[in-house]
Amino acid sequence: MPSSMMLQGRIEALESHLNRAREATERQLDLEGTPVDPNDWKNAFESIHDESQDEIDKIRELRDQLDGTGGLDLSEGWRQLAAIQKESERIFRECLDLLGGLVFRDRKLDDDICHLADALIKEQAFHFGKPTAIAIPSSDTAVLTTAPRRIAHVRFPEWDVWTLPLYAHEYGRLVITESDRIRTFVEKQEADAVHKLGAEQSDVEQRVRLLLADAFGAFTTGPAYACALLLLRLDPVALTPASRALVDQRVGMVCGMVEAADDAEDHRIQTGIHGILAEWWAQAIASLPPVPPGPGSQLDNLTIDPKSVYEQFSASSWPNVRYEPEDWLKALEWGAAWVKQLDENQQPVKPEVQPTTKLRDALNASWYVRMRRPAWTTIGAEITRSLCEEIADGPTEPPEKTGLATPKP
Amino acid sequence: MSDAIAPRSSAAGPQFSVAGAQHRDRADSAVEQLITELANARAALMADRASEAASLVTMLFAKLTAGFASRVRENERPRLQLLEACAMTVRGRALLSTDRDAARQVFEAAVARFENADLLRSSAALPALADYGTALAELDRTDEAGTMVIRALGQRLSVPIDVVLRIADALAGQAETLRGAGSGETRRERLLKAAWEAGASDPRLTERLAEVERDNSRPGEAAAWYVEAGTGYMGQDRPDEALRCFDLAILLAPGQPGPREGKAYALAQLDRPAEALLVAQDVVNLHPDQRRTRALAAQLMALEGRPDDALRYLEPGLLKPPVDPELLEARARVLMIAERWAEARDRVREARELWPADVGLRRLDAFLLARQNFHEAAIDVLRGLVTDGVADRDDRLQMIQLMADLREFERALAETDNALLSDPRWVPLITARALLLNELGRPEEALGAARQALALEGCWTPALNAEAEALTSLGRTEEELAARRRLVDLMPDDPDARAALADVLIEGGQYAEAAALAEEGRYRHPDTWFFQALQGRALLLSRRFEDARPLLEEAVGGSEESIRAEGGNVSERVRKNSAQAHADLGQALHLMDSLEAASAHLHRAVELDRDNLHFLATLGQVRAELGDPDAEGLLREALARDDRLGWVHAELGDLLRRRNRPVEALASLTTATGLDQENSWAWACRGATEHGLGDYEAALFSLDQALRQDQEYAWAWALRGSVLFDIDRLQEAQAALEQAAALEGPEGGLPLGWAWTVLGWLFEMFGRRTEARQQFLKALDVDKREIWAKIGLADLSLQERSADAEGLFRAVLARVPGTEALELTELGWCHLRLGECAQAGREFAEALRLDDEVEVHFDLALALLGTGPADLALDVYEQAATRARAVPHEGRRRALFRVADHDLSVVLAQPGFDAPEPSKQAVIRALLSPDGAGKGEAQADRAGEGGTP
Repeated sequence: MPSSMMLQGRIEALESHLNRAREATERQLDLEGTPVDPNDWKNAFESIHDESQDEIDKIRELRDQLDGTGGLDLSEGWRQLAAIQKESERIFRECLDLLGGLVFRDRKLDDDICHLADALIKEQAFHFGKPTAIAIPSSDTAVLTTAPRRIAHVRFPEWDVWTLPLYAHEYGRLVITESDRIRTFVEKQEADAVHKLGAEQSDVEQRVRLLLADAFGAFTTGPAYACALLLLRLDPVALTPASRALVDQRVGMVCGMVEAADDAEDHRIQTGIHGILAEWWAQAIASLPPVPPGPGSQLDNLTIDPKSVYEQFSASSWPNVRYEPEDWLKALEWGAAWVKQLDENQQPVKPEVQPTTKLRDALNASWYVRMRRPAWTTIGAEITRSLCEEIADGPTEPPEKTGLATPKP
Repeated sequence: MSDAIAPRSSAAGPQFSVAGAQHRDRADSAVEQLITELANARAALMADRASEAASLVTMLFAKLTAGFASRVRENERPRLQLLEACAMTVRGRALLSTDRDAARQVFEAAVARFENADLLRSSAALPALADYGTALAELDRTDEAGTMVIRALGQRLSVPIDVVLRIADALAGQAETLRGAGSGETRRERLLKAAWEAGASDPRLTERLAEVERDNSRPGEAAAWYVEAGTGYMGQDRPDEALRCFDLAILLAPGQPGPREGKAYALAQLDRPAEALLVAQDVVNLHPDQRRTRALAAQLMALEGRPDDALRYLEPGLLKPPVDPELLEARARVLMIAERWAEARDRVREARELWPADVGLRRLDAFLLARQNFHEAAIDVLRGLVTDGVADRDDRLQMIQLMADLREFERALAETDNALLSDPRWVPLITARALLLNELGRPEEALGAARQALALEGCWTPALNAEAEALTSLGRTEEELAARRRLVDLMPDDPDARAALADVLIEGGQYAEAAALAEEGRYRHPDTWFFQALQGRALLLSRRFEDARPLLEEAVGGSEESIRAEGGNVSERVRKNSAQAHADLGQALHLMDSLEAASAHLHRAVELDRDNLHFLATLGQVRAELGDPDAEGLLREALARDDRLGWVHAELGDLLRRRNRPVEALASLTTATGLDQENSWAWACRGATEHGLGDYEAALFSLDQALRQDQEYAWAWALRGSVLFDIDRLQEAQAALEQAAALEGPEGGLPLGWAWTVLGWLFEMFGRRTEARQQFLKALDVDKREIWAKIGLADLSLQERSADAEGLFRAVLARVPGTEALELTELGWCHLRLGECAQAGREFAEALRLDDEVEVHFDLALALLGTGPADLALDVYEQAATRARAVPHEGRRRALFRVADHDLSVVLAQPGFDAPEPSKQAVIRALLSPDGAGKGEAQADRAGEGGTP
């Protein structure tokens, strides 16, 4: 078979595969267990769909060039095909991951944690006027892209309420890209870092956005985010100086954000959590063997001032996006009651949910108790989850509209 | 009851006619035709159909005077004269009940004819003697009449019994005995005996015969006649007269069992069972073989609640052969009294094996089968009686009733028509036909049949009832009312007739008359709760809830007792009436705002009558008012079973509207208004829902429909004002709100505080603060919880720089919990006006999270304006303006910008408010122009003017 025919055959096959991938993103799955809002579906798959279309356009162009009178050099044709093929493989993998995750979620195999993650993201999305994102179960090795996706990956098997605050990070990645005011700030941070550290733009961009997404999590979800990140997600065992530096930067950012909220001029929260967490973290590190020597990274020296991030976020968002003193008061009220019930060997009681109650109220109250009473980790998981579900589903009966009594003639 | 002497059996007496049988061979005679017609008139008279008899005789006279006589052969003329005289006598008797004087004149004319008749002395005149004697007696010429009547009776001719008794009583003083026969018999005695021998069985006759024998010192015979008389009175259902006769017989023949047995029966019929039992036991003690009396005594014992004693009492009789079917039947009846139906039927079947042809046992078997709901088997037994030719008309009627109970109306009708072939004028049968036709949906024919029955017997109440039922089906209410009123007039003590009339009156909205009728029913029937229920219902519907309540409470108490008394076998009637009483009490309590109690009674009503969807839906309505989440389910269940219930769709729509589910609410309310276009409430609810959904024109249309049905519907006017306010038609809004105010007045019961609040804010926008304050105060008069009126008053105070303003705002803040969007907006506005803008911003933002209303975006922007750098506020203003411009309704767009602009002015004038620099204010003003530019353009415009961007 001549090489040109082989190339033609490969091009046709790839175009067909890309069309199939694009169609898969267009046609919403008929999910019965957890129906997805068509808008959310569209938002989630829009970029993958567009990327599929881009690759289809590229491959058509390649075909036209090969068919055209000008004639493209065959070796160049193979080279371009390989590039398109590589990008397409990523699209196919991501597509499969997402659709598989959706089916997984639909069958409730995620213990419905995605439903709560959706609700947490929705709470934040409203105030930025940006579309929300769908939470989808995925593996730890899910395809990572630089392109923003309206998808929050729920990592297997972290399917409990304790890691729920961490999904704020997923939405934070979107916000820092899409919010004009925050994006300007982010871009300035990146430019400064590139200039100061001499690191690659893309590496800086990735690191800065990671840290700011953490900052966003702490800013919106409060101490619960810091607790979940430090106590459950970040690994104190660092194998290289670079990984140690990365973890330290993240710890520094979230603790710094909690501290900034504690000390903010206009609304002092005074949780004191950042101090406790920092101390526990330091003790954990101290108990471990030193990090093996090895090469460092230019990014190890990246510093972003959490206080300035806090101020920027505050100035750029609606007043109730950030975690508020009254939110912490509610967490204290609920948490103290639970502590008392635990100490008195009573069955923990679920507090009353109001329309204004948010998921972050439940998560912070529960983390407050867990920090003080480790037994709450198992005892409190169920009641916290039940409380979160009630908040996520809203009141069973919406309040009656006042001023609309219905007098009969 | 006929007043003529009738044969004791069909074979006992002659056929009564003017002409005897010996004259029938001249059938070709024209006179024979008239004789037949006269016989028909006489028969009608005997059957108490006097008017029919009079008509027939009138027609007969018409023929006689229209030249008929000229066509009669000469030799027939004498007979014609006699016929005319007889006809006059019949006519006179037909007139007696209506016009005694006219009747007397006719009798005089008849006697004159008789006296002039050529044939009178001949044997051919014999058949006319009865009429001649009758006419004489009616003219009080009793002596002559006696002679004629004795001769007539001797010929077995028919003479009215009253005539015989009148003559006999007139002859009572005459001691003169008749010659011949050597009996020493008086004329009176002869007359009475002749009447008896001619077939008369009237107890008044036999009682006089007893007197005769008593006067003749023949006590045994006298006692026998008294027993005969007593038995006759019993047959006429006059047990008191019977008891008198039996007592006289006992005095005359104390050792005889017959009179005592009769007395026992009479006492039993007089509802004096204890005395009856004593008498019956006396008889059995003295005469153990008196099986009938033993049977009676046993049944009386059973009625006293001693069925086992009764069964033992029967044993001696049953053990002694030959076994008497009457005793076996009595045993079955004892078991029936004890409601031991299965045993009773076993006993009847045993007896039937011995006497399979016994009609009484077969009837009893049929009854017991029916009682045990073996209707088809009972019909078979009765059918057997018909086939064997031993069924009486009651058996056939019973069979028809059983078929009707099986709801086999076609079959019952066929049986009725069949029975009517042999018994065409029997009123109960015709009545049954009417009822069956009505059940078969043929009300016109039913009405015809009922009226046919009434033509035969005008006061036959079942026929009147059938007529009323047919008229109900035909919807001819006025005629139905007339029929039911007549029923109550005829049977004032019949609870069913009274209740039915009351029901029709209630249905027709004549509550006062219904209540009065039911009240009379309460006094006539103090043992039943049903009239309390009816009166309560009538009062409830007259909106006299306080008066209705105690009656309905009494009724439900009584009904529950009835249900307890009936145990597990509650009749449908009691169950349904009890359900209605509970439902009515529930409704009364509902309207008196005792919702929990109302709910309990409605729940019981539903429990008792699950088929009644109105009860179910009303329960849903009350549960909805109680805030029960299950209320929706109840309303939906009612609609699932009948989706044509417009008012239930309206209730559901209103419930969904109040539960913030406007889209579903609108669907229900649209259905409701489609089903019932005159329901102004449903239209108003629909308008309110459309308003909430931002469909302002649709809302105005719906509210106009509501007001078309009811121009004085204050709530609809208020809603209309509110819609007009929201679409910037402020003058019209003011007019509509003022119309609502005028209709409702200061003492109005409607919760329209919000409407005065809207009017207050409208005046505030016009800068008419005094009027605004008045409206806010009025709103608070109506509803002290009207928060926006309080905020309005505080705002006016702040605008007027009053020191009270802060206190007023703080008072609102202290009252509002802030758990809902509207409350958060209220809190936000208070904090904003107190200069606490950060807090206000948080509250507005939170309110928006819960309920994304465009106008609150403007509020949030205003709050952010007060918190520092204006950039974020400008962003929010721009977003709000963009959203406001996207609002499709032009008036609404205008209103949103007008209010935002007004609020900006008010807040910028607020003491201590940190206003942004003028250029930014100008940008905001430009943004707040309904057709204005975006933020960038506005800034550019300002820059071009030399301002600071």
